[in-house]
Amino acid sequence: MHSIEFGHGIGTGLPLVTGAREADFDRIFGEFSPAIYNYVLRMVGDADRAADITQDTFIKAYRKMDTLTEQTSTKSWLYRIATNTAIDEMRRRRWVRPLEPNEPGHHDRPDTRPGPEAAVMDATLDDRIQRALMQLRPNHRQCLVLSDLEDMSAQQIGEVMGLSYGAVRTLLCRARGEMRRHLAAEGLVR
Amino acid sequence: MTQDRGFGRGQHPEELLSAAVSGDLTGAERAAVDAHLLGCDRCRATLQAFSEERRLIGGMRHVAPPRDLGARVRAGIEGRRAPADPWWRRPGTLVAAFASLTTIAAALLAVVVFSDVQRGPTGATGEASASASASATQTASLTPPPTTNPSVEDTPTPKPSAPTTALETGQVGYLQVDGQPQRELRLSFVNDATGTLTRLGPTGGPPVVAALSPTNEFL
Repeated sequence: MHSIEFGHGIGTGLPLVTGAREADFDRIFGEFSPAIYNYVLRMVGDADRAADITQDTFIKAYRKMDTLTEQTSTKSWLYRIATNTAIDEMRRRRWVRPLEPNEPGHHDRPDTRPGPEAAVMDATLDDRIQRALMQLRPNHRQCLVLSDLEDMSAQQIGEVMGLSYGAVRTLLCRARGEMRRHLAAEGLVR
Repeated sequence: MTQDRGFGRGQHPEELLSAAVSGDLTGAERAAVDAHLLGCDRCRATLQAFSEERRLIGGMRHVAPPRDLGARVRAGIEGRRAPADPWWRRPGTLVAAFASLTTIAAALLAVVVFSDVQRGPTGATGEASASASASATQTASLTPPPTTNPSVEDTPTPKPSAPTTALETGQVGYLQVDGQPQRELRLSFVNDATGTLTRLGPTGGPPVVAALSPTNEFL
């Protein structure tokens, strides 16, 4: 269990709503930080970036704790912050880095990657699944990870992504179809 | 709902198959999908592929977050982002920079002071003894050389200039060492014109050898 130990009067400089704020945050961090980190890791596919995004997520969460009410699902609230933080980070990177090999727009460039057979043989199963995930559009990847890795229902995914129940089911179906093709290219499904 | 979607012969309810995989079907939807699957090889293959894909993603390795994640979050809440800070905002860098600057400043000060000592005061008269250690208060300049140092014989005699401390234009002064031999000695600067004494602090460090120039003008 990760503990951040905020309950001993550190000088955060932030207004405290109640004395239990730090304890609540400590509990939330301990309960959700591993899952949030793994969710973000699958979203961005890079451990260092995932750590930075997770860090930012919990900093934002601390500062937004006033918005967390009894009616709010802590899990959905936190995943929503993580999702928005990850999407912001991915958008920023989009402007400052060259296109990834698999991004749209790369097809007219010479492909310097190893051949498909070598790529498949060199990668572990997780690498291959992650590689397939990274070829999805971000919102497809997001709903698929929330559903299949985080085991969220369509209702919960809708809360995280700000979509209706029906929209989530449609998006999830498209994501599954897309993922199926990429997994098939990796030789993992038919 | 299922009937509204109207999947029948030639139609394949992939959205419901996807929802079936994640357990998001209502009872009626489940019944309709089950009935459809009995006669549709394509949808059975799709359902199998979706299920396999869910199994693969769900089985991905769980990675432990970095051990310092809590500390990083705490640092961020306190107002600084330790790992993301640029180098000029990191405390360690600031301390190192401050220490470096202090060292450089001390070295420059030492060079200036030593240079002033070498040049000696202008227009002073020689009267102090070279055996300074025997005196409780002795000046460290203007003393005839007890011996000639060959190493400085060939060096040109520099034009003495007055230290800036406690001097005005046209005035001269000299350094003075006070104290008891074998005990703490204090270094002072004396304005020769006004007699004003400026304490420069205790001397420290290992003893050094000093000698007067052949012209007896500087130490």
